[in-house]
Order: sequence, then C-alpha cells, then structure tokens
Amino acid sequence: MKIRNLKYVFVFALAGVISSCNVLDQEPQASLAPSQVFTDASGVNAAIIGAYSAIQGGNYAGLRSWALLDLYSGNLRHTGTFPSFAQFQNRNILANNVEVSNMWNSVFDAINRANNLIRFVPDVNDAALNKDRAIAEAKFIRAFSYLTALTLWGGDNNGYTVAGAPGVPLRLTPTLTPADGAATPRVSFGEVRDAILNDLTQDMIDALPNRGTGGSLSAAGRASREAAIALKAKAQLIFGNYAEASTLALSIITGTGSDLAPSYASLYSTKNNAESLWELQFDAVDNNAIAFFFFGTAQGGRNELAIATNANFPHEAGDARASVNNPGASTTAKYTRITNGDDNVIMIRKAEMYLVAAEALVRENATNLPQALDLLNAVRSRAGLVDYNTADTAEFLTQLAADKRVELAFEGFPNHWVDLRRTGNAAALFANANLVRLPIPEREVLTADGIVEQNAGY
Amino acid sequence: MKKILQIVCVALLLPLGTAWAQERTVTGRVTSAEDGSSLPGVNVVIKGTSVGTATDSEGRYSLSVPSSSSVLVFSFIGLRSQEVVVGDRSSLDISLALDATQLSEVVVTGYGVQARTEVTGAITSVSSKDFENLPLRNIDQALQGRAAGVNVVQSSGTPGAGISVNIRGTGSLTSSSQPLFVIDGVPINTGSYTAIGAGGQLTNALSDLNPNDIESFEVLKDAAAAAIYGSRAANGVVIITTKSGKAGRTKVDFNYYTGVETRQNDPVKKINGEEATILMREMVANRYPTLSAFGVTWASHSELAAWLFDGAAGAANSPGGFVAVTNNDGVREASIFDNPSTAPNTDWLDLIFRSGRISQYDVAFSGGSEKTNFRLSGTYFNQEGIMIGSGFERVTARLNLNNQVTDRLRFGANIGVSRSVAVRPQNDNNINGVLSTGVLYSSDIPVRRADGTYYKDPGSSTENPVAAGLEPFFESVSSRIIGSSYGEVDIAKGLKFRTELGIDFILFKDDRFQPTTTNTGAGSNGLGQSSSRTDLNWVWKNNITYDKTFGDHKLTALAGIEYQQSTFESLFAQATVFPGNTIRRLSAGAVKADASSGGSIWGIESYLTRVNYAFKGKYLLSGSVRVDGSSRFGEDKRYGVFPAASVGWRISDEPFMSSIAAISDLKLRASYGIAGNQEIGDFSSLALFGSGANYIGLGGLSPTQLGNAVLSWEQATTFNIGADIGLLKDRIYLAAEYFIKDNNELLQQLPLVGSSGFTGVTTNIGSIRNSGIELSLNTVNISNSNFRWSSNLNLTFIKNEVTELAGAPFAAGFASWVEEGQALGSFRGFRVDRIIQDATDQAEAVAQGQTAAQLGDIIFKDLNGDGTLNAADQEILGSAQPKFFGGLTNTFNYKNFDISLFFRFVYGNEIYNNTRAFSEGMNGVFGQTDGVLDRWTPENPSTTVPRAVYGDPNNNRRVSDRWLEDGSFLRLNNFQIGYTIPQEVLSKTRVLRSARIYASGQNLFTITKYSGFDPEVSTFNITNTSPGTDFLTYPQARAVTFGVNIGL
Repeated sequence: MKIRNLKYVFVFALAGVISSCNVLDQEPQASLAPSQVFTDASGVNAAIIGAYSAIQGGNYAGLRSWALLDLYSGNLRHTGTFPSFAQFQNRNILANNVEVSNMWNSVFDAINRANNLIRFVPDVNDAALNKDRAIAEAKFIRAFSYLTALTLWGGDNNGYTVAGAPGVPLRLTPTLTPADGAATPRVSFGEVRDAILNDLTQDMIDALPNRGTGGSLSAAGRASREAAIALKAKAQLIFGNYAEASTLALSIITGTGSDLAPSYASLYSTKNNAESLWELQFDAVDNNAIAFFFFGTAQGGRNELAIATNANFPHEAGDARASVNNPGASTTAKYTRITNGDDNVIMIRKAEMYLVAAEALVRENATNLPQALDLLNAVRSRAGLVDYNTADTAEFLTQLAADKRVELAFEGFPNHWVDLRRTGNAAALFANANLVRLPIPEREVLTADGIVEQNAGY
Repeated sequence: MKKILQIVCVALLLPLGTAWAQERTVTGRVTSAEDGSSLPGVNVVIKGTSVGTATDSEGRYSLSVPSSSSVLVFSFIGLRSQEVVVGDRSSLDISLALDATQLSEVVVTGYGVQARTEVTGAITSVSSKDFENLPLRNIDQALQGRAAGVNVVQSSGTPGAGISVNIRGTGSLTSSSQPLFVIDGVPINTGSYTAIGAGGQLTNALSDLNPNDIESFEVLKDAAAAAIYGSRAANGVVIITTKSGKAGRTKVDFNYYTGVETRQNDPVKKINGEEATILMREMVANRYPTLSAFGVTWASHSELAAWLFDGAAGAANSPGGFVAVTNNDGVREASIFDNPSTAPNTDWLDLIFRSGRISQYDVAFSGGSEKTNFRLSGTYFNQEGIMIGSGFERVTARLNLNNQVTDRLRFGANIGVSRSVAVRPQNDNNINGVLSTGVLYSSDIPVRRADGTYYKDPGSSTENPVAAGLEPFFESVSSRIIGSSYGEVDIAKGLKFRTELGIDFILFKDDRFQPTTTNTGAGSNGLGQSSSRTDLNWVWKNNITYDKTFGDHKLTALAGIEYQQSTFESLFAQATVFPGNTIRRLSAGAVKADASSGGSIWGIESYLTRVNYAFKGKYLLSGSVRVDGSSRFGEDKRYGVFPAASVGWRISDEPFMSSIAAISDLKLRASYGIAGNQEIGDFSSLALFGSGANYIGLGGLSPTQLGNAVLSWEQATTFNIGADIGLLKDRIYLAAEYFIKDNNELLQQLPLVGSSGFTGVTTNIGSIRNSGIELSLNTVNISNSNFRWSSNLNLTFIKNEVTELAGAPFAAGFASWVEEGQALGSFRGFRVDRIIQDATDQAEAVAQGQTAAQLGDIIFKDLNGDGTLNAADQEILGSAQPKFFGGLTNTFNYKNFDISLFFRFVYGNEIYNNTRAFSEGMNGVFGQTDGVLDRWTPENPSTTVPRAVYGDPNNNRRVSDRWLEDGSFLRLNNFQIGYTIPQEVLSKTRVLRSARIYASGQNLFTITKYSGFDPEVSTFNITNTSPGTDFLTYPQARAVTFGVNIGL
C-alpha cells in the first residue's frame, strides 16, 4: 500500500518536473507585431483605415479640433461643465489645458500612422496592392494633419506667413522604437508648409481615384483626387500662394453654382452630397459624440456647447443658413443624429472652393473682382440671399469673410478661426494677443526638456 | 487559532515508530483546561527520544514506555506543554492549558507554518477573533487598523467597492501596489472586474469572500517573509487561512446579525432654492454689470439670468432691451430672480440618502473523525446601502475537507463558491452620478414636473439626482469558485512531498440599462450595455519539505516547483434604440452599437527553496531564493531571481537573561531581501499594432505601443530590523519594526513627446523609498477571575519619497503631483494670497497677469516672484500621506459581558476637496453648498470666499490651497457589547452549546476637521499617484447591528 502510494506520488512529482508546462510563451490576441502588418494588401489597407480612424477621434475632427476653435472664435458658446472648455470660451487657455494636449497628441498620432504607411508600403510585395494610391492616401492624411497642427500652433500672432514665424516639430518618418521618439525641435512655418506641399504633389493627386459618386460609404469618405486638390487649394490660400490657390480651386468647380447642392440644409440632412469632397464617415457602431455635446440634457445630450447668439454670430436676414447653423434650442442642425451618434463631419466641400477661389482671385489681382463676385454670389444665392455687389476689394473681402464664416461653421476644420488668424484679425479679440496661438501642451514642452519651444505668452 | 492548530497538527504528525520490547503501556486522555473538551492531535513523546504518538479524535492516546522513569511530553502548539514522569501509573490523564503568551503562537508563512518564537521576518497576524461579528462587506476591511504597517483605505461607501491595501507604503507608480492575496495556498485574483464605468468606484474581487470563513490573516511584510512569493511579493503578501473542522462531535454554529445603516453625519449643507436664486442673479450681475452680454443689451439682470439658466430663447423687447422668453413653468423665470423667495426648493441630499438594512445569516457545520475532518459553511449577506440605487448581496458556501488515507498519505480539498450582486450608482467624477448630482444639482429645481416626468435642470448638463438613483438599472454579478486540493505523503521521516492544485475562477457580469428617462438614455432611446469577464487562474505547486532536529540543531528545508497561468476573457456589447423602457436585454435594442471580445493569458514558472535553521532554539537563520519566469517580462529578461535572508536571536533564552524575570521574551531580528512586482500588463514589452481603428465599415490597424525587450519586474529591496519584547509573562508584548523598502525599476511610461505619435513607452525606471517604524503593543491591563481588560495598539509611521522619475514631474488626478523628492500623493497648486479689497489690490492682480480680476476676486501668490502669475507659481501644498496611522482596540470582559472598542486613526494627511471646488466654485452651473453664503460682497469684505461671478473669469476656483483640508481623523470604527449566556443555563436546554447576543456599532463617530462627507475617501479608488482626493464620492455608512452567535 505504502509503496504503491509512493509510486503514485512520484509519478506526479516527476510529471511536474519534466512536463514543464509551457506557461511563458503567450501572445496577444487583439494586436499584431508591426512586422505582421505591412506584409500584404489587406494589412496595408487596414493600416490606411487605421490612419483615417485617427482623424475621426473626438480629440481630432470628431469634435475638438474644430469645435473648440469655433468656441475660441465665438461661433459657439460654452454652456457645460468642462473647465477645459471654459478656458476656450474665456479666451484664457492655460498651457496645461487637457484638450490642447489631447488634440496635439491625436494630430501627431495620425501623422505617425501615415508615416508608417509611407515608410513600409514601398517594401510590400503584393500584386493586389495599389502602392501609389496607398502612399497618396497616407500623404493626404499627413498633409491635412500638418495643416491642422500648423494653423493651431504655428504662425505669428498677426498672421501665418509672417517671416520667421514658427511651425511645429516636423516628423516624416515613423516612430518605431523609443529612440525614434526623441524630441525634435519645432521647425519654421515655412518648412512645415514645404512638407505639406511636398505631400500634395501632382503625382500624389494623380495617384488618387476620382471622387466616387452616389451615396456609397467610401465615395467621399476617403481621399480622392478632388479632395486632394481642394486640400491643396485651401493650404495655398493659407500660405498666401493665391495664384495656385485660385487655379486649384477653380479646377474642381464649375463656377456657376450648378455643382452646389440645391439646398444648404440637405448637405447635413443627407450624407455624402455630391458637393462634399471629403466627408468623415460615421455610423452607429463607429460613432461620434458631437450631437451629444450640443444637445440639451433633456434630449439626451450633455449641453456642453451651444450656438453663439445671433448677435455674436450674425446671419443676414433671410439667410437660409441661419436656420441650419442656429435653429434655436442651443443646438445646430448640422449635427442631429444623437440617437446613434452617426452624423458625418464634412471636411471639405465645393462651396469652400468657391470662396477660396473668390478670395484668392481678388488677393491675386483686384481686377478679378467681377469673377470673384460671381463665385461669392453663387454661394449666397444657394443660401437664398440677394447678390452682393461692390467695387471695393476690401469691402468684398469683409463680406466674403462673413459669408465664409456662416457657410462653413461647425465643419471639420476650424475655418473661421484660421481665417481670423490668417487675416490678422484674431489678435484684436484678445486682451493678450499672444493667446491667438494655442499653447504647445505643457506636457510636450516639459517632456522635450527645452527642445520644443513654447509659444510666447504661456 | 484552534483551526490553524488543526492544520498544523496534521502537518506535524509523525508516523509511529514500532513498539519496543519489554515495555508497558500508558493510556490516557488529554483535555483542554479551558473547557474540558477532548484535544485530538496532541503530541505525546517520550522525552529524549523520538518515540511518541498523538491523541485521537477523543483525545485518547496509548503509548508504550520503557520504564517508570520515562518522562512524557505532551505538546500541542498553542497550548502550554507539560512534562510528566510516568511513575507506576498506567493511566495518565492530562489537561493542557492555553498558552496565553505570544510565544506559543503559530504563524502561517508562505509555504509552511512556523512557531512565532522562530520567526525572523516581519509578519503580523490578524485572527478571526478580531473581526468576527463585524458587519464587514469585504474581507480586506478586516485588516483595517489591525495590523501595523498596513494602510487599508476604504475608498468609498459604495457597496462592493474597492479597498486600497498598502503594506509599508505605496511602492509603485503605475503598477499595482496592492499585496498578493493567497487563500489556502492559492494566489487569488483581486481588483476590479467591472467593465462599465460608474465614476471612480470600481468593484472589488475580494468582496466575493465571506469574512466568517476566515480563520486568520498573516501579513508578510518584509522580504524575509514575503520574498518566497518572488515576483509578486514586492507589495507584501496577505495569506488567508480558512477555517477547517476538527475531530469530534459535529458542531453547528449559527450567526446572525441585522441592523440599519445610516449617514454618519451631515457635514455638507446645500444652499436652498432662494439662496441659489439670489446667487445666480448675483453671479450674472457681477459678470455683466452693464447688462450688455452675448451681443445684446438685456432688460435686467433677472432677464439675463433667466435666459442663461433656463435655457430659454431671448426676444427683443421694445424699447431697447432683450428679455428671456419665459416658459412659465415656475422655475427660473425672470420674475423669480426678481423675487427669489418664490423659487422652488428641493433638498436633494435628503432625497438621495436613506437608511438601509444590513444583515447576514451564517451557518457552519464542522467536525470529523480521527481520519477525516470537515467544515461546511454558508452565508447570506445583504446590504441595502444608504443611497438610492445602491445595494449588495452575497451568497457563499465553502467546504474544507481533509482525509488521512494512511499513516503516510493525506489528501484534502477545500472549495468556496460565491455569488455576489452589487448595485452601484454612478458617482464621483460623473455628471450622471447620484451623489455627484445630489451635491451639484441646484436646489431651485423641482424633482418632477406636474406630469410626473423628471425636471431636468435646463442650465446644466448634470442628471436629475433622483432620476440618477432610481432610473438606471446597473447590476454587477460576480460568480466565483476558489478551491484547491492536495495530496501529501511522508516519504521518509521528516521528508514530505506535497502536490497541490488550486484554482480561482471568476465570472463577472455587468448589465446596465439607461432608460429614456435618463439623460444618457434619452438621446439614444435607451442604452443597454452588457459585459462579461472571466478569469481562470490555476496554480500547480509541488514541494518537498524536510524537517529534522538533531541535538541542538533544527533544520527545515523546502524546495518546490510551481506553475501558474491566468486566462482572461472578456465580452462587451452595447445596444441602443429600445422599444420602451421595460425590456433591458440587448436583444431588444434596434442598433447594436458595440460588440467586442478580448482575451489575454499570462503565466509564471517558478523554482523556490528555503532553509530555516535554529541552534538551541535561540540562534535563528533563514534564507530563501525564488526564481520566477513570467510571460509578461520582455524576451531578454524572462527570469527574475528573488533572494532573502534573515537572522534572529532569542536573547531571552540566554542564561544571562534568566535572572531578569520581568523580561519574558526578547528577540531581535534582521532581514534583507528582494522581491518583485510582475503586475506590468500582459504584453507591455511588445511593439504592437492594435485592432479597432475602424473606419467606413472596414477593420483598421494602428500602432498602439512601442516595444521594450528588457521590460521586467519592479523590484523591492527591503531591509528590516525588528524586536519582539515580552514583559511580565508577556502581559505586555511589544513588536517593533524598522524598515527601509526601496522599490526600484518601477514601471513608468517613459514620457515621449506627443509629436512622436506616442505619449510614452513602458520602461523600468524610477524609484520610491518607503521607510518607517511599526509598533504593535498588546497588553493585558487587568486580569482577574471576573474582569479582564486587554488592549491592542498598533501604530505606523511611514515616510514615502519618490526618489527617481523617468521624466519631468507630472500631474495626476485633480491636484496630485508626482515629483522626485516628494511623497507620492503630494498636492500641488497655487496659493491664495488674499481677496482683492480695493483698487490697489486689483492693480496688483492685473499687473501680475490676472487681467480679469475685480474686487472680491482672489489674488494668488506670485511664488517665484517674477511678476507674472503662471503655471510656474504652483508649489507642493501638502500630501495625502499620513504622518502616522493605526488602531487601538480595548476589550473588556466582565463575567459574561464583553465590550470592545476599536478606534482607528490617521494623522497628518491632507485631502484635496474637489467637491468643494465645485460646490463653492460659484462659476455658474452647479448647485452650491453653504460655504458660498459667506462670499465676498462689498458689505461682507472680511471673508476668505471670493465674490460670485458667472463663468469665474479670474479662475478663483483653480487648484489652490483653498481646497486642501486636514484629513486627520479619529474614528470609533466599532463598538460592540455582548452577553454570553452562562453554561449552566445552556446545559438545561440540552441543545445549545454556546450562545451570545450582542449589539455592534460601526463608525459611530469620527472626530475630524474635514468638511466633506467622509475623511476616509479616495475618488480614484485604488490609486498610487492620486490618493486622498474627494470628488462626490459615496461616503461610508454608520451601522448599528444586533446579532446572535449560537452553537449547537
């Protein structure tokens, strides 16, 4: 008996020692090693989708990268509880504002995702992969992100193209190891500008497909040839390259207004209108909290943001855009799908190209005013307004700015804010003119240990 | 204690030797001097030999002795040994008395047991006697205030919520700094399994266990004690031993208590509807004195206030003024701002707090025969909670079984099953919380409209507090099995092999439904969420132990191999657009908004050994080494080595001490060793692309973390010296420890600039030093036949310092700050200089950059003196680390009455009262507390509270010393008075073995300067970096309970 038991136990013991259960080799179940991603077309496509997804985030164009600047510019009013939002409302942002830090990190996260694609796609061998298009999409995302970063954090208090104005850190290669993550200094505004234009080359534009038609999800959801041209036009206007801006903008519009949606409201009530060149896509599963931030509590929102009063955010009498921008009850008709959070965010559409072309033409040469007036009036007429007329380019530009503010409010790029800064009109809104540039996040400055310079005034 | 002894004796029983020739047999029975009951398992050995036996289940023994001069030694750990000369007797009955001294105690150590006298590490024991009959919700509460060096902070009163247990200070920044819990040899899962956020308070896996099943806790504090647990011992180890049966008649123990929980006190007072109305109008008037606001000129401040706070539209009103368009619902009309006394008034706190029943039924059957013992228990615990929308329920069952198959072979198993249901309201930093909104909902909002629907504050994003409490359905159900089985064989004399398989399985399910009556559910037509998480943790331990005493030498050696694996699975789904509010299951939701599943596995492979050596019982030496390989460690650092060594000297056993009668025990101890913390995330060392970055209905991948191939365990190096001093036959017993514990190689996100696309990479860098003194004093103050008074005091002084950080100092929580040279839990912010009283003050404020400052605003100190107030003008304001903490228990027994008083105290810590930063912030949206009644006005200039101004343009409510408060407290944690029915009465019943009735009070009073609900609070639940923050956290309750303990 005893001996049998002993045997039994020793078998156990031996098994324990020898079998050496392998508990140490484990692998993650919802992640991949980087080497497993850029191997074939499906991996590359997933990485492209992942890069768009970065732009969708609530800290990027999924809300904050435009909404907070609409708050800063006065298009919106803060009615909620976040102190970090209140700092925008009060035009008194602190360097440690968490929204600023999150926006910064999100924009550069998108850039890093694009950098990964641009670095690794050339090495992928898969006949099913259109490498040029993949790289072009990545460059589109990178260019848009750098334009966002540059317009929020870079430039001068009195404009963007002032000589010596700073830009942001410029990273064109992916961060693959902690060593790659070392801080790099901010480069000049001009260097970032050049990098953006280097991405938005004709070759890149040519590698992209034409904007799809119809309401299919991807028709306006991803970078198209038209979207890239429009983005470049927008960028050139900001950079003060008016001839390029007007040429590009005019190249994708008909100039008569016939390619604008017949109804301003329909741009938001139906998704992916043909006018829309790039529209961030959301659905019930991949959703956003934009309507939630606007809606009142009784309607299921958090009442964080409301539309500024008509006095602060004026619309002309009879402007059809007034009832879309500010239908009353604090929210906007541009974001109404609170139930599923699936409002799309329009990033660039043709009406903007009309206005970009109009402004660029006039700034390029005052003799272009009649053509510019036609372009502006095409947009005004869709809004149900009478034609505007003037012989004075300064007056024209003022009117154009007012129309552009109303036309593009609450869309995926802080257009009014960038226009205020671009035209040197932002500083006047502030007791401390330095605050027109957002602070470089305090965390970034501290982590960089002197390498990334803070904007003056913070 | 007896139950431990039971386990111990099983282990110590040695097989019988063969009978000698020419002997005679002595038989007898060994009984307890205390109650005359039989004592099974008592060792009976012929002195000077290894010949002996043990008593059977009825306490009987039979032993052949060689001669009449033989001396029998009767020993049983925990009882005073007796030596008796056999003489010519053939029958020898003995009664053994309890050894009341500490010396006799046996402590459960990792992988064994040890007599207290021989322990060289720092181990504190808490026995069931200390916490039985207390209305404990979680077992870790039992440690609170009982063990020196162990800081147990109940982070809130939320039923089933987490408790932070820090042994010897917080020793990590980003990883867990909670100890390893081991139940009957099985390292168990702890922490929170909930996947649905409810604010700060998470769940606590330890609340699945029944406190009444626990025989003792042993807290292993220094490396000598804990390092045998290797890579999981850096934060100490808590060993839990459950009760087991003992041979003899089957006993039935029935315990029941019931009582009522209420709010402890009423420190937070809100302003009423009229005061709130006055305040809102004043805020508006101060912000917009000219009536020009939002681009128009308002007819009056009342009109503007009505427009701002009633969410109403405005309309031009000729001549030349804007007015609010009234909705005539009797709330925040301009006319009410003109006549504040007509405002509605709701006492929200009164509506959300309640008194709730708390009760527990507990029954246990225990007993056994010579070969087998068992204990079977079951409990039902129910707590309603003191806030609407909360509650907790627990059903447990446990069976412990041991069987001696042959003289050499033993098997045993114990298994505990439980199901607990927690109903938690949202709270803390959460606009849909119950207390959150109860505090921050303005008093001038009615509960409901005339049609019965909830009135929602039109000027605020927060939920109606009553709706927040009553409307959502939120239930977390934890089902759990913890069990182990073992086989043990005596291979040769003193040499034993044991194999043991343990499991801990949790199935944790959350279900939440937010109906359309809530803000969250209104927009999505109902929001349902369901989460399921399972964690299966198994451990297989194989150990050989060798015990040998030769002459003056005593040797105990251990070697073992062990594997452990934990498999985690999760499932989460969310649906919206429900057909009404009755069906809560996701199947009813038209839109399946989210569905995900996940899983992760980690494993540890371990090799361990330990040797304990004693010479003459007074020179003690111990050393251990454990090697742990963990799947979590980077591929270049897969195995960690964790050694420890300790020495002890029992001076009281030296001959030169024998003349000093007053000193009954004196032992000095010293230890040094290294333990690890492997709680570093399963795959933190790998560079990864993660899934879930989806877009336009396609699956996306994105880089989620950078790799670090040398990522490894955090390391704790502990130096400990201690002394155990017993005076006057141990009537005074002091255990004192001094330790220095350095936690190095701490895991941190080595911060990277965000422009890299990452914010950090997990790296072993950073150090924390905890050093301190622990004192534990037990005294028997009075002891005579009728009256006994004993006391237990434990006191801990810990100094915590962050000695190395990966990067720049960083902020955490709301006001917490982590910086080298400072304690973890430090608070940083601005310092208030004074209230601006005149134009000179104002000019000074404006000059330093407070451009919006007006009379009545706060001027903050320009701490660095550069003339500009900015982020650099913040400094360390205080710390959440207490200077000392401890507990004091006094127990009185008078005849059949017993009284115990248990006080707990914490001194020298501060609390950042973020609740007050909101409820006295006067910035617009929130309901306010009565501190604002003393606000600055031209008529009330002598105050520390600034003026009321809409939007707070001067940011008076920024993080500053204004919100920092002294968090010291002295709390009567428990008061209990009991009466034991005398034996002579019981014996008449012929049924009852024992009976006691008692009344008990928890948290009867708290002495503190803290102005919030409860000074024992942690909004961030279990946190390393931001403890001591209060933000709308469910306070602990006062409980008064009545109970009975009946033995059959």
